[in-house]
Amino acid sequence: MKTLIVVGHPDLDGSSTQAFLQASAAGVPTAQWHPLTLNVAAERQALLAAERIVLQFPLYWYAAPAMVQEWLATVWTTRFAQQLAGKSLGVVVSLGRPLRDFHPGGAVGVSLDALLSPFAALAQTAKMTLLPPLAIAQFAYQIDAQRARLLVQYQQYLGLTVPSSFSAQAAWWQTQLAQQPQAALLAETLATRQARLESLRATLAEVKGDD
Amino acid sequence: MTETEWLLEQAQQLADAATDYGQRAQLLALADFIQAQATRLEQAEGELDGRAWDHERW
Repeated sequence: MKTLIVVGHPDLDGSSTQAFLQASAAGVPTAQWHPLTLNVAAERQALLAAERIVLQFPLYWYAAPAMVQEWLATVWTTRFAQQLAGKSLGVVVSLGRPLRDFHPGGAVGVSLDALLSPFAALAQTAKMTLLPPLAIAQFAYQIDAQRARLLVQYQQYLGLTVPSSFSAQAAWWQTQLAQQPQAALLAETLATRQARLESLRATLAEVKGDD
Repeated sequence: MTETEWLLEQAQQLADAATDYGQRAQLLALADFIQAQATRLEQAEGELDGRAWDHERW
């Protein structure tokens, strides 16, 4: 699956979050890192060539930065959007506040889903499949283990048709570990356990079918 | 040592030995997957056992 990462950050070179994501994306051969431009023909060509489009930006005053809005208005016209039907749309958003603030009654008072609802409308209008957003809260404060988890989540977000599918994640790990020969025994044991899990689930489905 | 503990230990050892950041990060994050898989296995085994021992279904 070919993925286009449309990056809209007003200070891309100064962002440690984006630098981390760019390095992580380099581990996904099917993903293309693409800071947005207003070259309409080139942008449209890149969008049409992708199967998944990921819009990636920091949240500024609870919305995408102005450059993303301008890009959408210039490149992503209603007519052009019709040509994007069937593709998937992802949103990777970085936040300066903790996720717990984004709830009714929380410090922001509104959920992140509510703030990102224009993208749901966009996907629906363009007949695209919307992925749940990948939110990165306070990257600067994240410890090593959190960043490791983020790297994997992001790579799966870019590369898996259904990133939340556990069996797809299991298969993804097999592909990744195959590139690390020293992890061969680990990979084999994980694969055996996954096969046992799927067999157990099949048996359970049969048992439930008999009820 | 259980199989899950062994897997977690292996992943940690490989992460400690990794020189490439991307590989190291993946191996660190692998612990989440190992734990999630272990939980799912335990739940599936438990559910199957529970159904097998449900006397109302004998």
